[in-house]
Amino acid sequence: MKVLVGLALLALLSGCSVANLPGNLSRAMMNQDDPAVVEAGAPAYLLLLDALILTYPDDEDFLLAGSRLYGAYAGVFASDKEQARRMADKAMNYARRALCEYDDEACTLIDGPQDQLLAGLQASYNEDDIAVFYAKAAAWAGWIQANSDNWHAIAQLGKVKTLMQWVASHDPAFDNATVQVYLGVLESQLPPSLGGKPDLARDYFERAIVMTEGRNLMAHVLYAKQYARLMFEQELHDRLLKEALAADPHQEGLTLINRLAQRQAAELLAESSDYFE
Amino acid sequence: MKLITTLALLLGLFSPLTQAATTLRIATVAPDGTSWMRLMRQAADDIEAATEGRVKVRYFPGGVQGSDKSVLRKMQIRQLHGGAIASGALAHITNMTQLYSLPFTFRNLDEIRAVRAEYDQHIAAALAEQGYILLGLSEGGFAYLMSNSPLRTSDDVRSKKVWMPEGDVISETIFTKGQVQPIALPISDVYTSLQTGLIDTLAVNASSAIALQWHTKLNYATDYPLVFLFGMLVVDERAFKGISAADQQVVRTAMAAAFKAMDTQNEKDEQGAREALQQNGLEFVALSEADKEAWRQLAADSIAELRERNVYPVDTYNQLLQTLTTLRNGSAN
Repeated sequence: MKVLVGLALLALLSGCSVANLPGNLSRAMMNQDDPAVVEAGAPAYLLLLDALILTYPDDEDFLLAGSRLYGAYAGVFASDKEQARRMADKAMNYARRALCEYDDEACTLIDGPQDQLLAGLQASYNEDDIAVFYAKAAAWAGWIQANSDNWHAIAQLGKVKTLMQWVASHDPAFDNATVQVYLGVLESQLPPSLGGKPDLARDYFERAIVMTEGRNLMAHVLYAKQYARLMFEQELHDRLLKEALAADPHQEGLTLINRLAQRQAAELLAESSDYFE
Repeated sequence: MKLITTLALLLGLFSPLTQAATTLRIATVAPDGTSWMRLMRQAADDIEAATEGRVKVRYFPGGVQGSDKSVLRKMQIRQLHGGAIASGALAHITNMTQLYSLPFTFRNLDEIRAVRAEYDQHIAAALAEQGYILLGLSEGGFAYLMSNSPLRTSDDVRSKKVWMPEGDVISETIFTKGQVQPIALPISDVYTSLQTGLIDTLAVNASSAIALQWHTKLNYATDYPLVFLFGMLVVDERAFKGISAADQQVVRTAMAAAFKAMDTQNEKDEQGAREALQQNGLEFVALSEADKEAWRQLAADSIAELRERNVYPVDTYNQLLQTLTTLRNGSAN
C-alpha cells in the first residue's frame, strides 16, 4: 500500500519562495502570472545554476538555489516520471551538499536513526539553522514523491515530518506558512482507522490559511485534496476550492503558485461529484 | 398520442431491454491514491464501459465507512453493497474464510499460488451460501513477528508486550498457548502504542510496516513467515442479483483482472518493502531448524484447540495440508 500523495506542487511553493537565485530571478518567477512562461524559461536557469555550482562547488547559496529550483521543476513541470525522478535526485543531492557544507554533523544526524533526529536537532541547532534544514526537508519530500513506488523512499517520510515539525516549532509561518501546508499533507496520508491523525492535518491547513490571511491558495487546494477527500467531507472540499477559484491570485511572491493552485482547484471541483456522490 | 409517447419514454416503457442502472457502493480502508485503489478504479471504469453504463461502481476509500465490522453491518441494511474486508472479519459469516489464515501453513508464496486454483472456490462457495458474492481475494503478503529486540523462541516473546488485532481468535490462541498475554488494540492505536511503549512486538507484513510507519519503532523481524494475509472483496448477493447475468459476468471478469494485477503488484511491494526495511536498519533474524520446529509445534497445539472451537473448516484444511504435502514431496523429488 502506497500512501504518498500531494507533495508535488508544494515543491514549487518552497522551491521558488526564497530569493537565493541570482538577482531577482526567484521573485520574478514567483510573481509570474503565466505558469507556461516559467515552464519554458526555467530550464535555462537550471543549466546556469549547474554551471555556477561547478564553478563554486562549496557555495552553500548556489547549492540551495539549485536544490530548490530542481525540486520545484521536478514536482510541477517534469514531463514524465523518469525526468521527475532524475531532477528530484539532483535536488536531493544539492540539498545534502548544502547541509554538509553548512555543518558536517548535521549530515551525520539526518543519516542516523529517526528516533534520535529530533533530540539531535534540539540539542545542537536553533532558529538560526532552520533555512538549510527546511531546504533539505523540502527536497526530501519532493524526492519521496518522485519515488513513491519505492518503499525505501516511503520509509523515510518520518524523518521529513520530524524536520518540518522542528522548523515549525521555531517559526510556524516559515516560507509563507508552507511549512504548515507540508505538515498538513504529511498528516493526511492515513485515515484514522489506520492510525492517521487527520485532525492534526486540518489544524495545520487552517493555520496556514490564517497565517497568510488566505493569500496562499495552495493551502486551500491541498486542504481540499488531502483532508476533505480523505474524510469524505464534500461540503468543505467544494467550499475550499470555490474560495481558491474566487480569490485574486496576484499576491506578492505567490502569484505563480496561486495560478497553479487555481488550475488544480478547477480540476478537483470538476471531479467532486464523481468522487463524493 | 404525443403526450403518451413522451410519458412512455420518460417511464422507460419503450425500452424493455434496458435495465435500470445499478451502482455498486463499495467501501475499503485502502486510502485513495494507493496502487490498490488505482486498480480498483480502473476496474470500475472497465465495468462501466463494458456495460454501457448499466453498472457503475462507487468506492468509499480510506475507511470513511468505518471498520470492517461496520461495513458489514451497513451491507446488511443495504447502505452499502460491498466491501474489501480482511479475511478474519468475515469469519463469523463462514469459517471457510479462515482456510488460509492458520499459522505456518505456507512456507512461501509459491505454495499459496499452487493451492489457490483449487481452494479459492471453496471460500467463494461458502460465502455464496451465506449471501455474499466473492469478487476477489487479494494477497497481502506474509506477516512476520517484529519487535524491538531479536525474537527466536516463544520464551523470547514471553517477556514482550505483544499486540494482537481486536477479536483475532487465532492470534489470541497461539499467544496464549505460548504463555504470552497479548494486548488487543484496534489498528488505529498501534502506532501510538508503539511510541508510548504500551506494545513493542507485533506481527505484520513488510509493506504495511512501512506504510503505517510502524517500522520506525521496530528493529528486528523473526525471519520465519508466520501467516499469509488475505483481503476479500465481497458484495451483497441481493444487489448483485439486480444485475443481468451478462453484466454480472462483466463485473466478475473485470474484478478478477484487477485482483490478478494486485497480486503481482503486492508481490513486488512485499519484496521491495523487505529490502527497504533492511536498508533502514531492521534486521531479519534467522532461526535454527530446532527453533522453527518449536514454533510449528506451538502452532499445531493451537490449531488443535481452534479445531475444537470450530474456528476453521477442519476437513477442507486437512485436504489443503495434504495437497501441500504432495507438493512438497513432488518438489523434493
